[in-house]
Amino acid sequence: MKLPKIRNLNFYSAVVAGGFFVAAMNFTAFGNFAKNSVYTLTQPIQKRVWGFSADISGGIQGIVAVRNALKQNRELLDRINQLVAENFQIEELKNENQTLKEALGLGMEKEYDLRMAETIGTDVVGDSLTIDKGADDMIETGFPVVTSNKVVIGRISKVYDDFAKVDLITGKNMAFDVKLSESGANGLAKGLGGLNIMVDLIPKDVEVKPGSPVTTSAMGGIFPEGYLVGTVDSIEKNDVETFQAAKIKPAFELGRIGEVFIIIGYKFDDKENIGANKTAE
Amino acid sequence: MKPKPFYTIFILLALVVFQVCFLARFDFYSGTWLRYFNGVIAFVLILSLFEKRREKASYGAAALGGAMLDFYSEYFFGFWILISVFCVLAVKYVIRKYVRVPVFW
Repeated sequence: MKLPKIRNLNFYSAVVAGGFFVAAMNFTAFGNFAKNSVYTLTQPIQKRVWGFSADISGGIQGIVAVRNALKQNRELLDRINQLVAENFQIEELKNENQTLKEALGLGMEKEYDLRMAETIGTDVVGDSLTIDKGADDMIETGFPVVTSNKVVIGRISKVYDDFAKVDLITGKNMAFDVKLSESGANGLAKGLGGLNIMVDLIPKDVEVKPGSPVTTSAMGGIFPEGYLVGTVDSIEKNDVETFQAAKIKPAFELGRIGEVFIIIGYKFDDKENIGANKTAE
Repeated sequence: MKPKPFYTIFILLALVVFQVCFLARFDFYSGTWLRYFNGVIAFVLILSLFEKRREKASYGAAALGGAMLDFYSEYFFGFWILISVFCVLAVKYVIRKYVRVPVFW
């Protein structure tokens, strides 16, 4: 058999070297080391750009938002009247809740071991974040990531020495149990990619209203219970299906995520809950 | 047009940082096709469109840009290299097969 003539040795050498490099990046620890080094090198620039873009996007998004402002204004005036009435009731509940919290010590920092981290960037195609804490800060794969106001963001998917990747709850590989707060019904939240998420397997007889909050459920063992996932955006229901589904508007806005908290363990009772996540993977 | 390596690397790095740190903040276009816009791929395509037929610099830029994207991507390493090199190949193929151009190109 006649072998093809090698005309450009440099080209073939580069291809072979490139192949070895790609293989090393994918199948050896060198990949993690290299990524960690690149993140370390670019972190100062990334942090500056991330901060700078917040100001710019705020301005531009403000201009875009003006188009919807008038319509929203009318709707909001109606809502104000409704909310004023509800406010009295909420104030009472708030006081009661505060008293209970103090009595039972249910503050987030009291309940969990937390690590604060700063977001430094996202994945190329979204649905994933990079944070500035990694294995050196005791971060491990599977740890839940939340915000200070108890909104669930995602969980750690990959850990480097000084950085970690967070899979957002909207990612396609994300599925976890949730609870519809108003009805108390359970469902299965599934990430659809592109910052979209839906809740499936909601019993058909449950009444789901747009705007009602969706929180995490402890059933799946992936996230702690009671963290806000989002609000119901629209409901998909038909006569053939046994269950109904709902599209969810995530409670977080990707562009506004700054500091996040990683739950690395429970301060009391069952620490196995977090460990169970890793086993489930 | 023959790109200077230093400027090409600088532009690619700037585009990657722009992609992962700057564009992500603008969620008003999320849900539209614009959120799949990739500056590095666009740059590599433009480079391959405007360089002379015999030149191969755009392949290098595609491999380098793809590798930079791979560092910031959750896909397997090499995914973006393949995508960007394939884009350059496609552009070169279309130009070679279907485009008749002036002699200086």
